[in-house]
Amino acid sequence: MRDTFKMRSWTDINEFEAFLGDGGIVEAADFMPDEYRGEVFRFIEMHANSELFGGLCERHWVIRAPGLHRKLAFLAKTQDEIGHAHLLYMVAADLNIKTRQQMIDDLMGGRSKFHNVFHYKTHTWADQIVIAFLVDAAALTTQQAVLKQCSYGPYRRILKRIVAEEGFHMRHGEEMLLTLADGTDKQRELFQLALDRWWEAVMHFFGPPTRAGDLLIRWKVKSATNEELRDRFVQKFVPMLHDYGFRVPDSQLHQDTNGAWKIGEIDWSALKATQSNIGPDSAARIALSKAAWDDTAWVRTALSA
Amino acid sequence: MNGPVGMNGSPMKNHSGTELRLAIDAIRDPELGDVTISDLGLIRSVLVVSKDQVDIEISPTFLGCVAMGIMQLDIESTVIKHGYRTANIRHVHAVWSTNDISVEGLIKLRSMGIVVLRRDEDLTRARCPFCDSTKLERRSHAGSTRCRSVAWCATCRNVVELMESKFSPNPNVESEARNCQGDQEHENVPTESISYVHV
Repeated sequence: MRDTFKMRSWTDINEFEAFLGDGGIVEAADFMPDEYRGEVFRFIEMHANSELFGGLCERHWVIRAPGLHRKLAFLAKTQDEIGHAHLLYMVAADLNIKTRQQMIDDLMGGRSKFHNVFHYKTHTWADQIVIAFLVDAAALTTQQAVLKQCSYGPYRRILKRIVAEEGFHMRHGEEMLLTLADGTDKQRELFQLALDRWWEAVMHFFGPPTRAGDLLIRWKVKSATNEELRDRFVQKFVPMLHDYGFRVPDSQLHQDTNGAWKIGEIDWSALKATQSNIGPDSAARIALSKAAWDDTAWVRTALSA
Repeated sequence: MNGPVGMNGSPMKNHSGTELRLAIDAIRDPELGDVTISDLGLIRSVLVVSKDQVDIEISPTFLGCVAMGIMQLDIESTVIKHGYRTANIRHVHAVWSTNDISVEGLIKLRSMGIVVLRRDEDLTRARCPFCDSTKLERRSHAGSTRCRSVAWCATCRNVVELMESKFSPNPNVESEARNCQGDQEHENVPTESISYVHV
């Protein structure tokens, strides 16, 4: 047993980068460079915001989901997401840049970033299935790549549990997708329309092409570029959607001579709007989340009493 | 308990289902990586009734556990893969506690940063899975699933999760639950809710 934890420090950024290069794991108590602390914080804060937002926005689907079985699945998903946000905010707040309350205030005040997919309106139940399957799969793809080598220890350790649970959401998503794929023409059409609406946003989810010298890659928080992750996703899910008999809404989509799927050029304008919180439904989504957050204030008060 | 006892101390009623039992024991919990549902002690019994039918008793960690549906699907497909026609899965409520988690389960959970508190065990004796310190502080009673709560290690500053038995031990619970078996009306009325309100 030990009740003290060794704090490490590095004389300069080169020494720190050499430490990371050797596969070193940074701990919360270490005297890490401010730039590293800042980059790690921003990344975890955005992850936390997105989990909380996901949970708050999807909450109203629990009562709308068809049947008890689906309601339970959505309940599972929302409670997982809120739970993940809880863990992530703890790790983010410990980096001493913003308090948890500041992060929540910034998020609810529209001053903070969260994933692009939460800037769009969900029109039908099928939209929710696209999110549960494709968006969760996209999130899992990016999180697995972080988990693989993430240099910030406390984040990596909670990611291990988060990734295990995201896999569970995807299974629910796949099961729901199969129900529609196996269903009537109308059900299939419902999913196709939702896919048409969401495909671009799912491609955007991975982010714009990673710039050379990207600090998160350099400092081993991320293990792959945005393009690599997007491509990983495309190779797996394009054939799967085709197998289920759906059309991927990309007129330039084709296979190269090796059989790899190549997507068309991406128009980034919609992503840029979401990054400034002026996406198609950003204002309404922020209001919805804030209402859900305010609605449940009494629970937090009761629990902390 | 009478008769032979299988892994995790659960009764193994019929030896002819050994291979099936091993396969069921290898089914993973859908939310816990390598941890199997058997490691958690969720499988109460596997009884091969005939070459067509297998009866399985399973107890959720908590009533209304949302992962049950997927677990049941996994059990059914395993049973069918082994050549049986139907898996008759029955829930046994209000009998699970963290004491049912196997030693292997404890080790696997710990490697994921989840500390198991056995019945009657409190946080003061628990050790951080990352640095072995005893300075674990509870941060919330609710985690991402109902069977988990959240703590913080003040020494290494990592987030730790806890699996604990959140209701007080009641020696009568098990027998009461057994009396409810097969009675559909009672199946959704857990005895545990009488003595404990989950938060």
